[in-house]
Amino acid sequence: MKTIKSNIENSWIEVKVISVTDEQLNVLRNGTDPEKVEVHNELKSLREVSASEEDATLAQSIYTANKPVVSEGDKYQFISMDLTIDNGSTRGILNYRLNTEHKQIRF
Amino acid sequence: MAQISKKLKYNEPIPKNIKNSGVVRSQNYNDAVEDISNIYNIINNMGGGLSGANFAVVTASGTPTENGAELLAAYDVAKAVAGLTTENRYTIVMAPGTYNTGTALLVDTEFIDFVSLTGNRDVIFDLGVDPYPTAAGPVPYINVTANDVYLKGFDSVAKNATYWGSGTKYHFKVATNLNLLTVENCEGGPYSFGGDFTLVTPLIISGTYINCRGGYQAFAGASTASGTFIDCTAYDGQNFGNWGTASGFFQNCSIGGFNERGFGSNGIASGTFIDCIASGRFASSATVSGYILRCKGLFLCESATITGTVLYSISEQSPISTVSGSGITMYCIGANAPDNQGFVATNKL
Repeated sequence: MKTIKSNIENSWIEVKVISVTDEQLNVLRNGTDPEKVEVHNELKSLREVSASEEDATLAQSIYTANKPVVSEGDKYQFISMDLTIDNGSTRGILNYRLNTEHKQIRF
Repeated sequence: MAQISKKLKYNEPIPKNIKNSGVVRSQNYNDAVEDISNIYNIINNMGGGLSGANFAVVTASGTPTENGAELLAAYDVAKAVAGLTTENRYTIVMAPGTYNTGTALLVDTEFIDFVSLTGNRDVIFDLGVDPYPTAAGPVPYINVTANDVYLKGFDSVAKNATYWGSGTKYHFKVATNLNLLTVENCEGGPYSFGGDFTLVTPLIISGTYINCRGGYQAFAGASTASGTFIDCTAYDGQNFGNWGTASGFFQNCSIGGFNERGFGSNGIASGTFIDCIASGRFASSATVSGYILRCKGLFLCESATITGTVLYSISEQSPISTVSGSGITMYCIGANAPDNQGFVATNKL
């Protein structure tokens, strides 16, 4: 199973499963705020990597197929897309705003 | 399971549904009669005979273990129904009571819904085990892996959990990115509804959650909350995409507990937040690119990078951060000072 996400339109990130040490877990549960931030940022940099070309192409094609048709004069704002690739099948959600109204498309 | 008491009388015709089922393989007459009687009664005792092609009622009139067995038997019957689709669903209606399914109720089949008979949160699970025995991870009471499912009215007894203390509710576990899952009027303990316990595998919580209640790090804590959350309450902190991403739609949701945080704090708050409250940090130390309307926090958008829109909101103990780029904060109060950043009044009288 793979997780591909985007918080910036047309830019795809893979969220990887990583190992967390007992020491890091201890900081995240009992550390001070600055210590937690440091560990979280460390984990995030390990966990989030650029999606492979193949996955990015797949994600982009799913996004293109699902994004709404925007009429002239409408204001479209991409929020995020979360995609799960599971045994060859895909599922996920697209969040966006159209003329400031929040909308979701599940696919 | 309901008490099996009725026996077929000698020479009483075997009911057609049993005769045609092909499940009776007894070797002799007496065993066959016993088998047929049992199956007949299992089917007909579901809801005192109240069942149909697309529903069954679990009466829960026995002990918790019997109720749990009755529920599992109903689920097995439902799974055997052919042709279920998102439009042609099967509903298991559960009477108020306590249920012990032995191990977690594994909700692994699409289009089969579980709903409380009354609609209230009175389907109580008690597996008789510590739901949070160690720091290594919870023992789920409910484990949802199927996507297109609707669940309503689940709760649990409060346990004296080794890791979380007394009064702890069960772990309501959901798998990642179940975008068609709808959970309504259910309660869970810490890490329920998508909290990442180990901080190793952040989840994507993309379903719909209505009037649910959860504990510490529930509702996509340290994960991505990209679904729809309406009237949901977290009675402890680190919720709704805290340390992660809150990109979904949140309305009338709240976080309790002293000085606790959520709604994308220490992460990304890119979703839409309407009439939400955090007793602690709300989109604090976050990238706020979303839309925050009529919300309140002890520290709302504090130490944040605001490129989104914040309207009619209150930060009780800290100023709202200065906006950047296209960010707007308007008609807000930050630490008791009016805050109209990014707003240039025109047509003044």
